[in-house]
Amino acid sequence: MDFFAQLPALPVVVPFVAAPMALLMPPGRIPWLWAVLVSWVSFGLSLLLLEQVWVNGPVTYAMGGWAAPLGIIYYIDLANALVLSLVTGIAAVVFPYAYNSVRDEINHGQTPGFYTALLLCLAGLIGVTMTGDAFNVFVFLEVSSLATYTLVAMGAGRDRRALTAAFNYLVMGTIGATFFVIGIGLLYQATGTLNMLDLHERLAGQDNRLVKAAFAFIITGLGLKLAMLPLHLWLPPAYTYAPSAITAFLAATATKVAVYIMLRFLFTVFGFDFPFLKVALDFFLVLGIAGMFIASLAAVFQDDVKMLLAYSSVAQIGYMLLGISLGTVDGVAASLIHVVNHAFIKAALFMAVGIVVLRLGSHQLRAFQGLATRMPWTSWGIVVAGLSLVGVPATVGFVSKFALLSAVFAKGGTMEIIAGFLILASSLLAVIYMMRVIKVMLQPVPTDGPFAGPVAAPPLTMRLMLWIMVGVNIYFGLQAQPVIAIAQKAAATLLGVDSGEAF
Amino acid sequence: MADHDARPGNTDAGNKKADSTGWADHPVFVRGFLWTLYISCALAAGAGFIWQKKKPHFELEAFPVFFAIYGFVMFALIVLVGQHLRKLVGRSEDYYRERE
Amino acid sequence: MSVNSLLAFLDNPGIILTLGAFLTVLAPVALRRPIMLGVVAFSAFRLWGMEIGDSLAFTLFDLEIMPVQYDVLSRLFLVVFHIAAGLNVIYSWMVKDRSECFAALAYPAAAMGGVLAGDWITLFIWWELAALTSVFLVWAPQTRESYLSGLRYMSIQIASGVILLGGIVLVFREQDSLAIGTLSLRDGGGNFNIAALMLFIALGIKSAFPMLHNWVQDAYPKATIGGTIILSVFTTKLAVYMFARVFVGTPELIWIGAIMTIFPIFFALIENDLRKVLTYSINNQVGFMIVGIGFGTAASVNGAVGYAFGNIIFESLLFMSVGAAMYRTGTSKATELGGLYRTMPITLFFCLIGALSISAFPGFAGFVTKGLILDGAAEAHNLIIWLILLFASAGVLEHAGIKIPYFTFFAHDSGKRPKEAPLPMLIAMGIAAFLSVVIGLYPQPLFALLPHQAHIVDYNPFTAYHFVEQLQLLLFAVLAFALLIKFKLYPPEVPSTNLDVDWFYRIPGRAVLFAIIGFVVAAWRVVWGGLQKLVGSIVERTHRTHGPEGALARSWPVGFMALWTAVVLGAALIVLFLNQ
Repeated sequence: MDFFAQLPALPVVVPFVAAPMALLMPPGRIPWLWAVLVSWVSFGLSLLLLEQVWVNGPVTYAMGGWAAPLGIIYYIDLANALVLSLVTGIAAVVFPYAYNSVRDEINHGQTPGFYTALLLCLAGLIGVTMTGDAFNVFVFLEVSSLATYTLVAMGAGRDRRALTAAFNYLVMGTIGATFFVIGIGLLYQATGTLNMLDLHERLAGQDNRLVKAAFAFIITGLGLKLAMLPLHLWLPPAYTYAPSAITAFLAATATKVAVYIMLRFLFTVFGFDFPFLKVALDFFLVLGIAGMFIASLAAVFQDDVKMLLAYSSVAQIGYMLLGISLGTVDGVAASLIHVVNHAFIKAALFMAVGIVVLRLGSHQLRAFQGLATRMPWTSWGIVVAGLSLVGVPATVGFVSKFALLSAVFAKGGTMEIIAGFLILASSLLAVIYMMRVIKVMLQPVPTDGPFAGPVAAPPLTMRLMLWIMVGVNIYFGLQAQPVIAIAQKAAATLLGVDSGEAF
Repeated sequence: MADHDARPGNTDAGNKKADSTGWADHPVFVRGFLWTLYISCALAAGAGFIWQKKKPHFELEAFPVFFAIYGFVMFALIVLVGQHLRKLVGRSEDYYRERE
Repeated sequence: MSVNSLLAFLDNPGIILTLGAFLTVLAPVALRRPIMLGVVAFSAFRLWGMEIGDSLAFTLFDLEIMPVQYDVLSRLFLVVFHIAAGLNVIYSWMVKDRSECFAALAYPAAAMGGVLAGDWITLFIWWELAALTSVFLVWAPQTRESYLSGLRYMSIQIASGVILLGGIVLVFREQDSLAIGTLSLRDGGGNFNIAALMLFIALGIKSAFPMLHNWVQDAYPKATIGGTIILSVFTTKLAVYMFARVFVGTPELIWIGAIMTIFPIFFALIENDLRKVLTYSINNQVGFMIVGIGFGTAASVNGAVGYAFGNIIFESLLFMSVGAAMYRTGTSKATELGGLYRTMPITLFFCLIGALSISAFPGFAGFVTKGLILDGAAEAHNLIIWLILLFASAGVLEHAGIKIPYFTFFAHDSGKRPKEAPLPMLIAMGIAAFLSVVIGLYPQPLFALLPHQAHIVDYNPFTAYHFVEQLQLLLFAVLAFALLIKFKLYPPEVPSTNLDVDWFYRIPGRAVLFAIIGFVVAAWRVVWGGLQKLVGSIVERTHRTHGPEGALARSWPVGFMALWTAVVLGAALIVLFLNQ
């Protein structure tokens, strides 16, 4: 069998097959090593795929040899390939990082189960990204979500509130998934197909209540999954009480994949000839801006660093929605760029917080007092990633902001210009909440209270992985061209501006 | 820091008076300073009649003691008028401390 | 990037001093100050080796980035910034605090990096770094007051940076280039160009335009003694430099600058805290420079930047002498000072030199360049501006030339008999005083640094007429002072807080902000509480009939989130169905 012919299937198949195997392994180091190996293999495969798509254009792969529209096909263009590489790349850095943190936070006996869930989650996210079949999206979304609920609940060993958070997340995630599947069902009723390509063709010209309702259900369902304001309430507690490594992984991948799938449905399935896409985009503009401010303001007043960063994530989703709402190639590209860059930023920040949790047992802001003296490497990691979040030049955060501002100003409408100024104003809030953390870190080490006393140096692997992620923040801040080029081309493909594409 | 130096001045009036005759408070110095000032002013005003600007931009500049009058009047104006600003914006020293 | 090009990138004052700042932090406490001095000296040495026209550029994702662009204008500011940074290192020799030492190099480094920037992005980086490093100087006293003030200061500085970034993006869209060049505030039709206007406002905040000025008075006097002096130099002068680069000859600047020279005079008159008086003096002095840049002629620009050079030295000198008095007595309030001439004669001597210089007495630093700015107004035949500037000159004499030395060293006897200032302070003040006098008597080296050489070669500040007009103005103003004191018309100092523009955001602004937050919270509670009750009662009723005990409390938040989802879905459906 030709390796390259089967390449599109492998990133999904490998973790799926590998996941149950982890369950059979003895607790401890071995399942972890296995997960790391799988993540690296997946990352390698994804990069190969990305390269292939970049060189040869979109790839179509019929699962099991059944051709579309009957069978499930995988369709990979630059947008998926980019998100796919992002997801597996983050996994390849976070999984090695996870070991010490998991040993500390998860029951020893539960580790095989933990890594199984983690691999399933990864497999699900990869599947969502790659499939070209609408119902298949739902299946994979549920695979990854179910694994995620389990993983969040495993944080209960450290804090019982993880159970409530996981339960909330479960209910909300299920509602979202249900809405989504209802929407797909309605679409099926209207068109008789589940293949995205076919959907697009058969939806053309249809403008009836059935399709509209389908659209509303899908948008709301996905909005829940990507934590669009005001459907974001599940996210902060889930991120806060999940195990540290899980937070780092999820924050960088789960909502990002949801953003991708939202783009897919908006532009590939429904498309611009769909008369009420415009309405949805206006909707996103308002919700995006509201998210930027409300969530940032909420972040400013948090005393728990994980909660603070989680709210900041909701705010960043607002930037992505804003980019999407422009409906231009520049806007969608800026949104994709921010998807990638924000994943780098938040992965680094949550990894750093995880190190603090490992050594000080808390993610309260108070625990960070004197951190600059205690854990200089971790602290500087937070500082650099924080600057990146704020959007200081030479970091990826700046690239995002610049791209987004350019897109906004290029569109040039009054509403957009105002939005541009609001983006600038909301970055002020980011400065404020990050400076709060940094100021506390620079204070002298506390001499009494629960966080006094000497602290052992954090494990080398964790620091190393943190700094790889921080390095990525800087590297792609300086070498922004690859990401920008891919995102631009991906956006052009998504919007169908680039003629000759299948979608 | 300067406790041992400052103590005599703080204790009683007698001490302070004896101590306060520094050179600048000496009447001879004060008188000398004032007379130097008066004479310098007179000289500067007089000089205005001797050295005139070749090509004045404004007619005012041609007036020999314009700068003297303007300086004197404006300075007095700043001090005499400016102090009333206090009524408008002056508050107790703890104004902000009580409110923040 | 090869090793050579990396070295070239590192070899400029902005980077050298930044690296030096980190070195200082790592160094043992006893070596901190010597290392700082060494770093400043090394940086000055590298500056000496730079040639006019030196530049460094590379391409970063298709954008031309120019971290170094060295020309005559940047040279002048770099030279004087080095002098100021060096003087501050010496002056605060006893201070070994880590964050203060760090900021004392990193903040000047940021200002110098900004001066060298050849493109807007580089400028933006240093601009924000200057804000972030300098806030540590405001926070250094570790009091609640300084903490709050630092937060306000930082917010305003970052806001300026944010506006700057907005302007940069707009300018980039218009010109497709990031190079810093001159811009005009209005387009051909006389309408404001939004891009230029945003940059103008960003620079305006940093240079403390009227109504945007108050962060200076709010934050600077709350820093440590040394911190205030460092702060007084860089941020506003960096903005002046940028105005000279970008908005030279913009007529709006003339009026803005003129107003800047006037209003601080009155606030300075009634201010009791002498360090705060000097911060008003910063506004006033920057006003002169802004006016000069606004006229935009070779003479007035020479005057403006030359005046900036001298001003940095003698304004620092005044801050240093008040700081020395504060170091010895613990206060900088006029009501608590006075009579110090007995025991601090050397400090008094230096302070008087600073006072004479800032008042532009002939023979001192202010005199040789201030005339150029006034001539700018005269050559434009703008009588009102000319009179305003003369008026402001009398005002400078009042608050900086007389009030500072008079209330610190003379006036009523406070009874305080502090020791003379410590040696490092005296050395720093001595050097500053020496430079003020040298520039005043022999300005040729300063003139050689000015940007428009063709003009300055035939300029002679020492004409009889110039002497006479300046002496008349100043001597008669001093005479007025003497008479006012003699007839007891001079208002006594009283301890007070004087409201300024910051009142608007510190009292009503704060109240409004809290009211909005309170209102939102209250409204939220009403809506949320209502929903909670509604859903709660439904859930409870169902629960009573169907569910087991206990799970109720936990299911509540889920209920509301689900409700939200329903609301969003409903809204989406309604909007879609109505949109026909």
